[in-house]
Amino acid sequence: MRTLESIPIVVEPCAAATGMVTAILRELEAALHALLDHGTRHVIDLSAMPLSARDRQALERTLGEGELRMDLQALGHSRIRESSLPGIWWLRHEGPDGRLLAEHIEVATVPAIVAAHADDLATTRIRLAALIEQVSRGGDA
Amino acid sequence: MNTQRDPTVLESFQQQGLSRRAFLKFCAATASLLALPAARAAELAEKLAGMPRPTVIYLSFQECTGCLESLTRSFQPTLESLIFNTISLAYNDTLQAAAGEAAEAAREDAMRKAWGKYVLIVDGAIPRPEDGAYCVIGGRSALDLLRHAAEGAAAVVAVGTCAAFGGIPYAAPNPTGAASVQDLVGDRPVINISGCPPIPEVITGTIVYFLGFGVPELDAQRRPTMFYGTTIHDRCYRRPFYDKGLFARSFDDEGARNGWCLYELGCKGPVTYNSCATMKWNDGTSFPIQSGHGCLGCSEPNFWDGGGFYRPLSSGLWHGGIGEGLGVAAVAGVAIGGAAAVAARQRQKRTTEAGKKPPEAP
Repeated sequence: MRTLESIPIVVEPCAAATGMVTAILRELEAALHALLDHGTRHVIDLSAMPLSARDRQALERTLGEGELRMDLQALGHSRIRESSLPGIWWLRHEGPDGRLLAEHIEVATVPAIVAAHADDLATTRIRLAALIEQVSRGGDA
Repeated sequence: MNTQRDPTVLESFQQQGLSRRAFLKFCAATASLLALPAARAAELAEKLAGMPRPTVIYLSFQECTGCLESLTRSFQPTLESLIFNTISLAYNDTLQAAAGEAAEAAREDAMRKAWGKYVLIVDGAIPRPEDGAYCVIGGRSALDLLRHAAEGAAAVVAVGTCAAFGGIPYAAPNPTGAASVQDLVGDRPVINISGCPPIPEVITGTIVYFLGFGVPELDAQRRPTMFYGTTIHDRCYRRPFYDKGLFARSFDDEGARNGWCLYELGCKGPVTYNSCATMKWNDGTSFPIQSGHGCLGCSEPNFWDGGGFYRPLSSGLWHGGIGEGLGVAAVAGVAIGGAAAVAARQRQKRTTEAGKKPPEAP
């Protein structure tokens, strides 16, 4: 049976440069000042930006690839990459079916979604205590 | 005494085996859909994490189930996650397993427990004459069911043009005396999500926004401005052709093949407020104009009685006359585009005088 996915759809990418890259870089500069001076994190939602294919390539080339990559498996796959500029991160969130849910550039020491939450740490403490008790009673054998 | 606390939205995610990071990701995707600034996105996550899941009662009256079909094809947030994690859907006669008296009893029970706090979603128009006898469910009229359910609702969400403005049941000659939700319970906070059907992500996005921040900013028709703030025409990718006066004049002429503006083929984009041109349909694949057909204006009141889907707006039949219902952009466009719209009007007049029908769809 033919499904919607089997109908070939070709979307022609827009080849023009719109000037958005410069605007985003300036926003990142302001966000970095805010992070240094006040400790505030900042997120740019790329899906809300009318970026052409050329803009996108230019932005990726300018920000470059850093030394850290993380994979998050929660409600589908998420790819978190540090850019060549420490403190500027690319985040790409996909749904369980691989569809793009959101794409962000985050300016922070570590992206918010990476850090363990205080409530989860409290749960960890309880679970860890139970594990220690289990192991000390020889439960790991 | 019942001391058991209802799970919060985050807890219900965790009960489904999903982590806090899955929840944060869901919130990030939803905030992106709602075009919320970053600070508001974090606020949305914080609010949803700590709030109990609200009870939602979904009532269907004079409707075709197209709106529910649309809702179940929502990609972001997915209906599954919305139903099981964000809201507690206590009653929907199409989706629920229970039927008959058991279903009605469950609805009454859920409403009693959450009286004053639940969200009421209504889909379909409501006939008024003969005490609402033209639409009766489980022995009670739609009119009676709506009035009773609205009394205990924190907010009423009218999904689809039938619920929002009367839609097709309300179209002339309106044989059942159908009315919209706001006509009947206008004293309650009513949010209209119009469209035939509405864009699925607009339905779910509005519900999630309401859970986080309450009633969103509404336009004069009580529609959320975040989705109904601009016309289809204002955000249409064919708009530059309108401004240049380049129009398709039949469904198979050179203009149509070149993707020019569909204004002369009756496109109602200039007077239709909705997000189709930007959010599109089927996970952002396309929308009617991109498929080569003009906008029908389905998210506007009385769209069915506009005088013909293929008559240009300038023929004066839509909303009473040229300019009256036209957006500022459309009028400006007519000025910029020279005499294009006027020419269309004259052409329309000629076809009318000659007794010819306006162009038909292929």
